[in-house]
Amino acid sequence: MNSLILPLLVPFLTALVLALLNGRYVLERIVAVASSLALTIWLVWLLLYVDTHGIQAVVIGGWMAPWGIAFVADRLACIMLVSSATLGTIVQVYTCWTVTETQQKYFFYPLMQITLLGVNWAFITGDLFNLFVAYEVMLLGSYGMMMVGASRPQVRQTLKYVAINSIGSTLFVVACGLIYATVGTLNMADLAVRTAALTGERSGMVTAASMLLLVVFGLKAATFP
Amino acid sequence: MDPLPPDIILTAIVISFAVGALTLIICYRVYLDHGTDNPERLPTEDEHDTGDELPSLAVGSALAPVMGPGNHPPTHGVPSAAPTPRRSAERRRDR
Repeated sequence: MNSLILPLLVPFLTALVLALLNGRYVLERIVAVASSLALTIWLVWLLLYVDTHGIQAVVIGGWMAPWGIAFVADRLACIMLVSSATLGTIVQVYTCWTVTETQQKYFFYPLMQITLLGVNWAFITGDLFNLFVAYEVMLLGSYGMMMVGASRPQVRQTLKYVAINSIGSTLFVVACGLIYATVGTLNMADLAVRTAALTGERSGMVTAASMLLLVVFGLKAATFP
Repeated sequence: MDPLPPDIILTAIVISFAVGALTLIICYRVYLDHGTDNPERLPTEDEHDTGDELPSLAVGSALAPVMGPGNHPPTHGVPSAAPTPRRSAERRRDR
């Protein structure tokens, strides 16, 4: 099911178009909201399709599971995609009244679409390292959005946000390496099978990597520290 | 040879490069705004700041008026006497 890359493709292309439209305020808002709305409707259809036909997957470039990057849409992923796309659409409708034209000139809507691209990517990917890339895309969009307007407190606090997320990303790569060295795969479905079969010293390594991942996700979710 | 580790490292390097460039730019902006990039000496509370006031950078030319550390205008980094209120500041007051 090749159309599974649509949740990535649509926000990405929309971001490019919106960046080119910079300065045409009304048109930019219409394009942003219309694209998000269309994607939301398509994702609702995908949720219903997955509900009846079972889990959908696509491997990029036809490279099979141990090497290729798989995009997997199961029910949980679809529910998360639908909820994030719905929230994104509602927020963009709301920003039509609250974001000033000055702020919009700082590429507010393209950055919003890039953040949504990262969120969708994180939900639909079936590969641990690809999840890291998705996180970085999402974070780069959010760094930009935090600095929209570039007032003094914004830039100052963004520096701290960037610093703490750099630490989180470093730990994420370390955990990825640790898991790949121990288990020998980064595909999430494969990981679940192989981790269950591990015994002795190696399962301890997996526990260590899991703790690292817990710290990373805690950092990103702002629950730790 | 296993192709995955080089692939992972290369991707991580590219991403770190982008984030590193962004971090350097933010550090430089913070230095221009406050005269220091030491987090201990940066103001922590937003009330002591100019709040929503836009700094000297003109919209649309974010890199044009780059000032070195030597030629700061005297008012730079000092809260101006009467900051022009912008929309979000007005909204906060209304609430």
